[in-house]
Amino acid sequence: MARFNDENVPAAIKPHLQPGEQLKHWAFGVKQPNIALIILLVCLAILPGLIAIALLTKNYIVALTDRRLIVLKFKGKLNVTEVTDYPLNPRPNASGSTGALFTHLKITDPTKPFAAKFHRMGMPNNREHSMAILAAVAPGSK
Amino acid sequence: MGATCPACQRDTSLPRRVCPACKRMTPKAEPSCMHCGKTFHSEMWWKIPLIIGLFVLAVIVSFLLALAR
Repeated sequence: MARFNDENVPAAIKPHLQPGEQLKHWAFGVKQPNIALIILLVCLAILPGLIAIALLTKNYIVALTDRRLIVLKFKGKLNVTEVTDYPLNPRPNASGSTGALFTHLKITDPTKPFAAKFHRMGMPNNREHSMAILAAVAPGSK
Repeated sequence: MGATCPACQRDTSLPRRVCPACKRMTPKAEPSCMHCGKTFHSEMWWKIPLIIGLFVLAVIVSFLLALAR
């Protein structure tokens, strides 16, 4: 059974919705440490390096509603620790791309910058949801 | 600058974190919970020492293995 699915993720997002707000898409993403740090840690010692990377990786659920883009940072099994939201009108200054495995999303905001990547196997339909979110917040992205 | 809370004058659009004690929201920039007063700690406070400890342990184990050979 998948760790995250289309039942427990919307349930975790629901308490953060405003009255009447409609949830459209949701996706599970991560932000890993800098690639140079990853290489350094693994070169120093493989197992401690991999554990360190896992500890330094941040987990996010990103939700698109009819009004906002909501970013939920969580630990464990959907234990939400931080909430950030971006109104869709005006649209946030976002960019991104879609590759073979990952959909990348970056929001350039002076007070609340955000970047994460969404693996297509992160949860069921993660690819479709993350691409829909990217298309909504950064329509020109490929 | 986003919307301001009429009660506390805080910017409601800024990132918020969930207080581990009372489970209510507080702006991330604030050092303590605005509801229960619990002081927040960086989530790295135990991770960095653990990572350093793991690397030190790896060095010690490799040293002991080299001695045993």
